[in-house]
Amino acid sequence: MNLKHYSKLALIGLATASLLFVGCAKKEVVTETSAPAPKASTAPVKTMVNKPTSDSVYFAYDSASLDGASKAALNAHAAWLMDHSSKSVTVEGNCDQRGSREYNLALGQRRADSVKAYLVGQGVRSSRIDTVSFGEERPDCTGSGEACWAQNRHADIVNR
Amino acid sequence: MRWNRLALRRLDLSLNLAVKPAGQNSLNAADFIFAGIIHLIIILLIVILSWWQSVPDPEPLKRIEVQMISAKELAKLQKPKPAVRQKNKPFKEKAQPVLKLETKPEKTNKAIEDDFDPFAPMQSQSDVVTPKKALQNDMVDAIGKQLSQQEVDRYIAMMQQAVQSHWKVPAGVDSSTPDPLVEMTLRRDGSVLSARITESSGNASLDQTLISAIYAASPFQLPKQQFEAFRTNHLRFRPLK
Amino acid sequence: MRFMLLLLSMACSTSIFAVEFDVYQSEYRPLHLALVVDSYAESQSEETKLYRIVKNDLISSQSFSTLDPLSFIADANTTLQKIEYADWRIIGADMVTACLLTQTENGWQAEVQVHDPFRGKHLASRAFHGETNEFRTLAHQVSDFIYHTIIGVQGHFNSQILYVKKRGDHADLIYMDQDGSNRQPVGKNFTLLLSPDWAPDGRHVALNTYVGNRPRLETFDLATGKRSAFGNFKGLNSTPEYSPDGRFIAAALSYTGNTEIHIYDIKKNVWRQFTHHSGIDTTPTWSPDGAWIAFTSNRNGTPQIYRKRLSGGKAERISLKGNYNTSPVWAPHGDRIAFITQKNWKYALATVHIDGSGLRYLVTGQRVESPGWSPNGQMLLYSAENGGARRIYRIPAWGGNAVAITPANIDASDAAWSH
Repeated sequence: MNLKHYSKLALIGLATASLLFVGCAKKEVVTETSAPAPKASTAPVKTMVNKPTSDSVYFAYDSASLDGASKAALNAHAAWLMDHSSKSVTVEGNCDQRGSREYNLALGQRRADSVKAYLVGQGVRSSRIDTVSFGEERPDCTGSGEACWAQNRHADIVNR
Repeated sequence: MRWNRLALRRLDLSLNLAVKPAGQNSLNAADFIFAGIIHLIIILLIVILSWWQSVPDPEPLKRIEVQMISAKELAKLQKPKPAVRQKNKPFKEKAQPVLKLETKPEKTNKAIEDDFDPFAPMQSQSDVVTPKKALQNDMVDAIGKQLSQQEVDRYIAMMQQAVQSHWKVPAGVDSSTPDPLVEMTLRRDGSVLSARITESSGNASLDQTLISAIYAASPFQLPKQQFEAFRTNHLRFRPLK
Repeated sequence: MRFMLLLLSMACSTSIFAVEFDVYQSEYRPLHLALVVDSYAESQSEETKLYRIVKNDLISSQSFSTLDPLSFIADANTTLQKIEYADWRIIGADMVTACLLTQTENGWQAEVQVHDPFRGKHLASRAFHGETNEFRTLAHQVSDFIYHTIIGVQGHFNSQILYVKKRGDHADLIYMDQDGSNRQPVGKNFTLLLSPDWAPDGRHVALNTYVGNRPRLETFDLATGKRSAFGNFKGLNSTPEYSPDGRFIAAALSYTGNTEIHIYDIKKNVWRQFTHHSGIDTTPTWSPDGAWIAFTSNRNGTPQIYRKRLSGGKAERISLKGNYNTSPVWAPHGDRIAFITQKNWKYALATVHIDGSGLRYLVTGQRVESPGWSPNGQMLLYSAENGGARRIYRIPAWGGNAVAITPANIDASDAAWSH
């Protein structure tokens, strides 16, 4: 009984610890070259991590192209979506605060569309993915400077 | 006696003829001819005066005709020289080469194959220089004493500066607005006799700012003796668009 | 007779000797206006009110400065009855306006006279009537009359401005008179609210709102408060702009897979696609004759301003300088377009002629955005960041100074001036 109890505690401790790592990984997703997200289906029953570690992909200035890291993250999402055929998502496109807001709405839309197109290319049905743009209206970081702006140039995949 | 009477009668008739036209109220051919003659006289005056001004200065006192000669010619020239040693002869000899030179070009021109020298002198023609002067300046000269172009420009610049500094434009002007033209006539003391819009901008208020600017800028600085040149002025206003 | 002919011929020959030169405008300068307002004893407060409203209007245009009434030699009554131009010339008045305010049965009457003391000429007179609760409108009509008489351009003082006020996660639509009075929210608690645009009828407004985190296009009736959605496609629905005749609304939609400009026929309730290009095409604006639409497009790599005929044809590029030119707004008189351009790492408000010439920078600053014209094309509105919060500023389109028209403690943007 004790062993089971302790192993449970250990597992919970491990899970909590891994959660911390999950948080960090989200911010450093751009720098990590390969962050293979664990597949929900192969994880132990009680594992918390059953989704891709990162819900955001990042973009260069005035661009909607996906780089290697983004594609890797999206691969994980595509895989997850294929496994959970009942789930639908919305891709939210965002921009940094530079430039005109109306143009940034369109740029954010382009980013969202770019992500959707990639997921569809990976086999996810188009009707399961919605897109919306918030332009520069919902910045994650409200300061200025490249570090902040880079954070804001992102597209998020959000469960519906 | 008879002869005298005839003469008197003729005189009478001619006088009558002379009196009659004056008695009539309407214009007749004589009046037009008279007007035409006056016009012609004035135009003739202008033409003569302008021609008089435009005629170039007479030839300078020293006239030296310089011509290029080929090595051949120089050699020919030099040949007779060493032969002459007497003082009197050089003068004669000098005269000869000149004559020779003058006739030689004709000869070289005629000789084609044998004597052909590509560096043989070609007959040069002295340039006729006609100095260009603005019509304006000619007219100014025609009227009064000579006023140089620089001085005219200076007075114009002063007028321009005065009007510009007094021109108040309070609001934006549409790009389609044409640049208005104002005719300004001045009095001898530089004050404005009249300022008239000859080409309107289409905006009466803008037109008014031009007139106000002109009156505010007056009296203008004008040359005392050459005033006539500045009596009438055409100002083209260029608002920002 | 002959002597006359002689003189005539001499005159003709001398007139050809005329000096010709150009006079260039180097700057703009306001006119000094003597504004005289008078009334009878019992209307003292209204008299002051009228004076303040008219003075404020005219000064806000930056085309006028008003002389101190204490320097006036004559009073309004005398001026209205028998003006002595010399009295006004002495104090340096370029123009004189006298206004007599009298109370009527159901409101007020304002008699206005405009004089030019230097020409010694009476320019115009008019009497305005208004009901008691329309006092401010009456005052603005007086301002318009004075402005039009002296400047030769329609006044913009009887107009309103809409803008978006952001409060945390919500946005309100604020309505006010162009001079800042009568400020009131006409729309509250929107999730996101962008680019309001006035219909020519002055009653409807097109909006880009977000409902349930999804953008849509709505028309809003200011008289009834009713909203109705007219553009609710998948993806982006943004930047609505009414046509000058009020029959169409151009907008940027992305449901075709790419943000393009589409035109909505209000009566027929149908949309048609206007641009067909794989680049981003957005922020449409109509020419005053309704024959062209100018818009932002990055079809050649960077965002630039193009114009295209309604009847079809190729899009022509208008913005010739720089790598970032967006948010065009066509001037009401048609000859210029206001837009946002990148200038030395910052963003500037600028105007340019339709052929791309005559580029004029007006303001450079932090997050300079959303230009909007006054109905007479003399003023421009824009928003700019001022230490964290955005404010709306007004600046003459020909230069002059930027003046804030929203308070410093609120976040205001997306200003739109009525027609």
